[in-house]
Amino acid sequence: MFKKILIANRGEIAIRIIRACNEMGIKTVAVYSNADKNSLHVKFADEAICIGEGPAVESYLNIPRIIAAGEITNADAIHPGYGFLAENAKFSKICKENGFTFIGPDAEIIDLMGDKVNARNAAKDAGVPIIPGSNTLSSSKELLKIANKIGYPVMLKAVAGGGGKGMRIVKNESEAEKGFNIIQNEAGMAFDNSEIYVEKFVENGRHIEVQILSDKFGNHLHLGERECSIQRSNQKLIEESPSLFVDDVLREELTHKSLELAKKVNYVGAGTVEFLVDSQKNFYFIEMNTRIQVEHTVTEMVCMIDLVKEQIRTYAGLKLPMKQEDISMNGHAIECRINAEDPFNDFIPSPKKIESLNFAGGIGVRIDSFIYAGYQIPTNYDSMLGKLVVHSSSREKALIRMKRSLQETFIEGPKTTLPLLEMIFENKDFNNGNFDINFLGKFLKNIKEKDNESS
Amino acid sequence: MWKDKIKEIIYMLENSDINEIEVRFWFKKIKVTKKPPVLNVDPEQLSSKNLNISDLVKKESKDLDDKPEDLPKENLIKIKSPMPGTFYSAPDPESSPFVNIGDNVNAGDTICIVEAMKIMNEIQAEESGIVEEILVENSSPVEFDQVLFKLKTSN
Repeated sequence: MFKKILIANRGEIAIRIIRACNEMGIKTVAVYSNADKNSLHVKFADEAICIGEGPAVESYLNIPRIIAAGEITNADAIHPGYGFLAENAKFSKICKENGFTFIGPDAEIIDLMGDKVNARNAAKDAGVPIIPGSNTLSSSKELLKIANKIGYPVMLKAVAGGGGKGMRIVKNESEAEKGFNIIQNEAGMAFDNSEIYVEKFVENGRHIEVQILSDKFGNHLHLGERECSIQRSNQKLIEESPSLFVDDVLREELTHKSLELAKKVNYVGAGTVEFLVDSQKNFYFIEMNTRIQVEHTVTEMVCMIDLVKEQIRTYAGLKLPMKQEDISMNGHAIECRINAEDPFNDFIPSPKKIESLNFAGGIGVRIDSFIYAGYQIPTNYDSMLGKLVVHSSSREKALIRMKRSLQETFIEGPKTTLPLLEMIFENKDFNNGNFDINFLGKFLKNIKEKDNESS
Repeated sequence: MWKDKIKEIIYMLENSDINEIEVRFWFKKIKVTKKPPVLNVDPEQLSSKNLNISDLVKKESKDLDDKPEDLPKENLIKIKSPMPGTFYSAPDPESSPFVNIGDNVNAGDTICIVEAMKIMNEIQAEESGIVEEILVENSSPVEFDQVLFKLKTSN
């Protein structure tokens, strides 16, 4: 097992990893930027090394400085968390070359899954259904030809895309050429790769993903699904496990296909296969994330398995300690993301000082956060302040517990997503599980319209 | 909360024969010394609050988040590490150090090396002056922004 792990991240996920290490008897090294001197991960780790100025390119994205911090502290592994360098193939390779175990897949797998066209083809080879579409497009003429075949509307996507950027819906032939040029430029600027491809646009789909855990001995397990349909512009806000929409037949298919893909690419560690599921329960591969995800917590709550610990163990070369039949999913878990954003003003970030706060507690409540009273939220990073997770024996009871927990929670200082979350948990359609990926967009539009009427 | 805590520490210190107390309280470090603190030799202390009893009594309401003024004197400049890495005072183990205390250095002179990822990064003096203090021992790890040298400049 590793003796010391450097955590190349910040915020709640850095603390999440430190907690796992503490329980495993592994020493931890935090790295931090000048903007994060008062951040909690710095205080929680056994050692902390300042690596640069606030902007991420000078600190959390700066590979030489992170490697140097690992060298001077004698760490033997590096955990990238999520975001920043978590899915950077070059970082995975450089860690290895400098004698560190990268707690994430080899560069080849990250590259394969990071290139959306390659990932589509890998999924297809493994027998996973993909959305009808193309390989890399050479011209707008080719786009027209393929779009006519699969039918409008279609979605143009960047091959190197991710995080909701470099995507555009094309409704008809007349929009095709313009859309092609715009997305090609956008992709070039955002990802330094102007290659694009096209897929049929699936309307009214639900975002369902499967958690995978694999070791170096070819054992692959699934830990059920997560429902992440409550999102806006591809930013998730509420996640739950299991999904009310997924019946036993669909679950069997989704998890089976996900394991086929993991086997096909010889996956190691914790990974997630994302699907879009239409109202007829046809499902399509979206992408595979080769890291621990923000919403891993809901899976942990229903499976009672510490995913970060298992992820660390598998990269230390240990066998998974359980078999598929040992894993049982109990009850229902829901996660809410608390972000420092104004939900009623286009989600403008609100990086203020936390004047006071109270987090919910009690049975079945879990808080993964890094804020405290007096903490000044830096302007340089993601706006997520923490995650409120509840677990109970059924979805109905988990919904009640979440409402109770949201009432107990307050954060004074910044604007947060808390009031919006409270409203969503009062919504009948949401409570009945009657929603898809367009739910939040429509919900926000309704609020705005009601606001305008009353004023 | 803070005032009470500090008063309590001062009281403890005054009624003991020890010279300084450092406590951690809510992730902040408070250090109280009977005599004025010596110039920092430990980088840890740079971020901690060096409080002096006489100062405290006079202006207890002073903002505690203020950086300690550890350079009260004239014309001292700090040379900081531009990256995390290992500090070397000499070009190789056999050679003598680039600079010693009391040496004159010119702007642009190499004064040490910070090694990161097997690359030897030469660090130059930004200004001319006399080496007043060397704060880091040879071949010890340094952080980004850690003070390595203090130079006394002529202007």
